[in-house]
Amino acid sequence: VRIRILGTSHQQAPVGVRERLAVPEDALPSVLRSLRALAGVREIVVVSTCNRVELVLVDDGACAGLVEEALAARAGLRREELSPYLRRFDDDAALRHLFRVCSSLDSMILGESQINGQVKESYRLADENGSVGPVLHRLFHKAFSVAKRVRTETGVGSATVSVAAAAVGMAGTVFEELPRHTVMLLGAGEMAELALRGFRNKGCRDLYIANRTMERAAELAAPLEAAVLPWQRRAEFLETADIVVCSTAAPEPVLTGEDVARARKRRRGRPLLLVDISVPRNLDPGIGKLDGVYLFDIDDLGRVVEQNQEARKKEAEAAERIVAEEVARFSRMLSQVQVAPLLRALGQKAARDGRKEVERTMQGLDKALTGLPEGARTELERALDRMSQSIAKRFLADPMQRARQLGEAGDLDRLSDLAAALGIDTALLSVGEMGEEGGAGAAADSAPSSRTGSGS
Amino acid sequence: VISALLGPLYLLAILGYASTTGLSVAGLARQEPRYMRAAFLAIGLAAAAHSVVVVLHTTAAHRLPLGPAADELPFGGWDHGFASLAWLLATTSVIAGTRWPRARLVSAVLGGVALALCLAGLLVGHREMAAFLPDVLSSAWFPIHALSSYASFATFALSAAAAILYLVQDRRLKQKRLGHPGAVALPSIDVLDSIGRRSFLAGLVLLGLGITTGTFWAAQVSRDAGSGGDIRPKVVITLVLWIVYLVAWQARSWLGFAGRRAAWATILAFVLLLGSFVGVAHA
Repeated sequence: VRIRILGTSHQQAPVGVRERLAVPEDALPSVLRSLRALAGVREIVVVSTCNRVELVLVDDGACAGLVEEALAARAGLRREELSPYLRRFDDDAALRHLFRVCSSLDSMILGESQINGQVKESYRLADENGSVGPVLHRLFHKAFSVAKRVRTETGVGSATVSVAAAAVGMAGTVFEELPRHTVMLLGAGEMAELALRGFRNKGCRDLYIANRTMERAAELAAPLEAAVLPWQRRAEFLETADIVVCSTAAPEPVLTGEDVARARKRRRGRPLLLVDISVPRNLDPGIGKLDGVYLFDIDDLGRVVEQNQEARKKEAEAAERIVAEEVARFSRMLSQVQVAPLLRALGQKAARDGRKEVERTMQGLDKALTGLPEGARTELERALDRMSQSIAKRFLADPMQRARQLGEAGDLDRLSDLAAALGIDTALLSVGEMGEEGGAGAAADSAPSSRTGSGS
Repeated sequence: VISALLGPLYLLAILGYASTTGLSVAGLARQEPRYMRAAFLAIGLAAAAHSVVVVLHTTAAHRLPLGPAADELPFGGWDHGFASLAWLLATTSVIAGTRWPRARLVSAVLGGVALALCLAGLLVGHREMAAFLPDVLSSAWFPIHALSSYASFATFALSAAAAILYLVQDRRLKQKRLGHPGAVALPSIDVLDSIGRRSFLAGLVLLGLGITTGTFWAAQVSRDAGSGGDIRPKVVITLVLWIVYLVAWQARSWLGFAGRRAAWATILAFVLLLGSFVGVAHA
């Protein structure tokens, strides 16, 4: 069997192609069914997000063409048209790709956190639809554990990489517990909305929006449970607000140094953070010179974002090493055949057959043993039992050793012959360490996330 | 048994303070947060070992190891005054670091001060105090006076350390130097301000208690000795300092005296107190 990944992502295909290939959740069962029905396909998981559509397959090594045909047909394209947009990964390359995807090393925004949840959800849906077998169970669980290891051991996802998130992060350098502080937004544009969401996600409850157009402010405030403040009260409100995010399109400063200096006296030494993400700047740059007042503009935030992206890239190198290590380990494990069930069955069969022979022998000796005390009969039977087990053990030692060697070498054919010769069901032989960890249940611990999202 | 345990445990505490200092310096130099976490753990263990030393000594000698007294240890002298200051400082640091986990850098920095105090205690620990100790230190006022005075020193030291870090963080933010992701992060401005304010207030209360109980203690000693109630210079200096601190606190609370000026004032307050403790008390 071979593990393959076939599909496309934001790196190869424009959104126009990706949206044709995308598999919505309601269409997933039929797509899985039709792909599973293709000759040679044994197991399949479809990962479909806004930035990638990829099929993770276990096949007999000869069905790639059929799958490509099916994909093209689904996208309403000819195979030659779709082919340049497709990426193909086989065996170790496929393992590496899946581990990288789950670890967010292949995402548009390096280290973003959504993709792992999206892959988990895809795996869960495929499992529910019966298209996941022992190999993919094991593979996906390994991929999730690799992603966890990457997150734990590297900082690839730790630093924020958007301006709005950087503004929220900046607040953490001045204020320890953000939920205890009041945030005022000046302006109601897209950036203001993102910043507002960021502060809301950090637990801030006292959120105020001041905008020249009250209706627009109310529109933005309602879903985020923020309050609307009359635009004229913005300077006066500096006494209450600890964090001010300014994102307006005004051509002149909307808060002056005098406004802030006046508020500073009334604030009795409480620090004040002002983040100006407007271009042109809407806060007087002189404000930043006041004691206890911290002012940052869009360039400062840009530097933070740039620095964080660089940091993520550096961390990604360590993450790539982890992925390479895990690919080698998993590949080695896949190449082995698990012989434990076979050995166990062999032992049980020998014990069963030995017992039967002892019983038969005892029956044959029944007359000869007449008159013997019951205790002596029992003792004799036990001795025969021990002897039969000992003979079986000695007899099976070499075949068992041979089975172990063949298992380590991954020689399934010879192992099957050996099992058949010993009268053991060859279905007991399995590839890789399948078993306890298999099944979607283990993935259920992490909440599935939306199948669409940024960066994945 | 207690005598046998005191030496190794005290040595363990000193090693803990030294580890805290070493790990903090290495953590700051290499910008490695793991070292800072280890430094906090080290000061926690050192404070625990030192606490056991204090308990064991109190059990054996039936009094707290406070004041101008010393014991011999296998590796040098154990000056009770310096050692107890170090102990209270480390304990205060650990409490502050537990309350404000992001401000553990303050605790790590104070580990260095605790180490310096212990080493100073080893240097001066050989002096002979036997002649005047038993009578003077047997008063019930003495332990309260000494403990509250030492604790005030520890809390003022914490306040000063927070003020120093406040100035550093303030300067970094003003210069838009925001630090690299994954590096050792300085505590936030408001938490440093909060630590500074609260520990300053605690120091003020404890110093007030120390002065009050010290007055009662001195009066009792004078009565027992049959002498007049002389007012010693250190009492006057400490009292003046306390009044200045009280005014500074009022200004901070009611007049909005805060930010960089408040941080500098806090550092100055500690330096003056240090001078009062070391210069006057040990003169």
